[in-house]
Amino acid sequence: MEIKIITFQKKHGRRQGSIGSSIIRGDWLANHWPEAEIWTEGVKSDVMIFQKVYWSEMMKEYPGIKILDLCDPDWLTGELELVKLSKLVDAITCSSQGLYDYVSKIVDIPVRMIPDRLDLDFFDFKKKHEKKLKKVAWFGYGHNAKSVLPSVIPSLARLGIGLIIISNEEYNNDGAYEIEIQNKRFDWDTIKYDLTNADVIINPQPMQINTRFKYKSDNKTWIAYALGMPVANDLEEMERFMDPDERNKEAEKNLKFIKEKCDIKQSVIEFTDLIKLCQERKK
Amino acid sequence: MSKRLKIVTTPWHTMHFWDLFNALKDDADFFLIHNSSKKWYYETRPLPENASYVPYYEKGKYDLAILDVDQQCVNDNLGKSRLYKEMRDLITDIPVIVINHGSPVYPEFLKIGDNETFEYAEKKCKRDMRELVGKKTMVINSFAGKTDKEWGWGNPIWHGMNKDDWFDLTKEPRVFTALSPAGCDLYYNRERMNEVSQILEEKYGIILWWARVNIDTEKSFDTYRNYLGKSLLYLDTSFRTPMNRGRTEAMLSGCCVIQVDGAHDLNKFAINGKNMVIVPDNAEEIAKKVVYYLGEGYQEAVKIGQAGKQMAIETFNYKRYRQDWLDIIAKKIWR
Repeated sequence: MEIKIITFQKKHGRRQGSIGSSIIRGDWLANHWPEAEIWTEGVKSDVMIFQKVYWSEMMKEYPGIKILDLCDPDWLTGELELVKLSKLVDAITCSSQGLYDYVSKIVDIPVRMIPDRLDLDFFDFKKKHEKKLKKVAWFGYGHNAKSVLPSVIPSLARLGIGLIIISNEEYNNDGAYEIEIQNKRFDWDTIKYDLTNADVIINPQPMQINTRFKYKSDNKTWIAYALGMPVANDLEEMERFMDPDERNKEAEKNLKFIKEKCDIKQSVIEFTDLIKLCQERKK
Repeated sequence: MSKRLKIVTTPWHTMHFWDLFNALKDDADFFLIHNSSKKWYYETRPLPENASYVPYYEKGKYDLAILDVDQQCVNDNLGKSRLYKEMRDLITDIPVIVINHGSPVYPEFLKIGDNETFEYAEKKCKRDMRELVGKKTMVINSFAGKTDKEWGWGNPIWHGMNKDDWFDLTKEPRVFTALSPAGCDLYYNRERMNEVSQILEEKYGIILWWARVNIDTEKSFDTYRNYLGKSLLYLDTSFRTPMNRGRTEAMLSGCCVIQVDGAHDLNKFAINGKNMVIVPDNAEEIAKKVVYYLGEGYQEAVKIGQAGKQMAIETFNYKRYRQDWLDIIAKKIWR
């Protein structure tokens, strides 16, 4: 059986590595699935996984098994006509519980939650915590930085903790608080080193939680865990991680969780099961 | 050819393919592969009956493949370059004909500006195109395209059109162009068109009607051909484009074409002042001609338009176009 994954990155001609969801739900999946490859122009297959690709013309013509893989609530912005596309595909996969809860109520085809699991071969470097917490890191899209960082910067400044921001755009603190901020461009080739330059990854909630937030996946937390980095969701947690022993303990616990629950190979099994179900339903 | 051919391709140039598919309607069916870069623009032309979409390429199903390139395909960062390369590497079991729609004018790729480096950019473009196409048959749209000034190789096939697709209507005294409004400035000699437009407006109070710039003629095929058919003058400033299709559409619509000298193959069909007005690449001179033909030269322009139409019917027709294509297909399939 030949399986092709058409990623958002490929369909829209984006630079390799520029779309996180296409790396996580396309490249990493294909790396551990012998029957699967990233789609190329004109190539024949038995199964197509449309990774955030809402290509109705192709879905109409394609005779094989079609799975629509969702990682964003794009129906909120009108980019995705969810009901229409659900009638053109055989199943839908969702990257988060929030997406699953909503989509499974709306459509009448099989829906599965397959989270953003990790290619553990990629995370071949683990942080060793030896000193008191000096720097924290935040990573993500620039527009999110503006909604989450202003609330944590005063506390970091007060505690004398530096901040590394790894993003697609530079964050400007406007000099309101005295804090050492280091901006780094997000790059999959260097992300594991950039993140482990810090002692803790911070993952603050936005000041105003918008509708999209409940659909977000845990991929940032899991990426941090896979590198042996503790994740602080609030000030209390960050203070707990001041001590390197505490961080090492946390990292060990998280790494065990990652190996058991977040290996992309589990997603390969779940996608394979879903394909089998689709084949049976088509008989 | 006795059997009906199955030709696989990807959508590329809707207008070009409209004529190709229709000209070969008794000979071939065309299968357009869905892709991430190019699509059929239904608003500009309906999909001919002998063409349909397929989701992917399947070995053993087709007799021939047609792939498309233009000079921008030497730039790896573009979707159309990836489309060509991936299809080229995928289709290895049947003959492939490559249509090259452009000429080696692409200084934007190397981001250079003076004359010396223009020459370098063209040389590089030709070299890269050779590599891209390899030993495949490359159809080009003009005979000039085969000269050393342009690609230096290729099989020229002039386009052909169905005269009945075009409306020769009572002419309004206005000047129109369908020159592409974006990208490849030097290739289209767009700077000159902009200068002419400015001079006409500022000096003479005349508006140059420019498709997709100040008039939305692309809404539908009928909107376009109705507007074109009522336009007295059609202006084309490009001279490195291989046989601008818009110009032939204008001639078949009875418009009087004003063309900048030096355009590909002009000497093979154009007679200045009889079936076309040929002007130097000079904005003031071009504007003066426009003013003359819109004013006292109106009847003369109508006459030139009719002679141009007759010439276009005789030269750029489906009968000749079909035969040229069948000849080249026969060479590829039964050599």
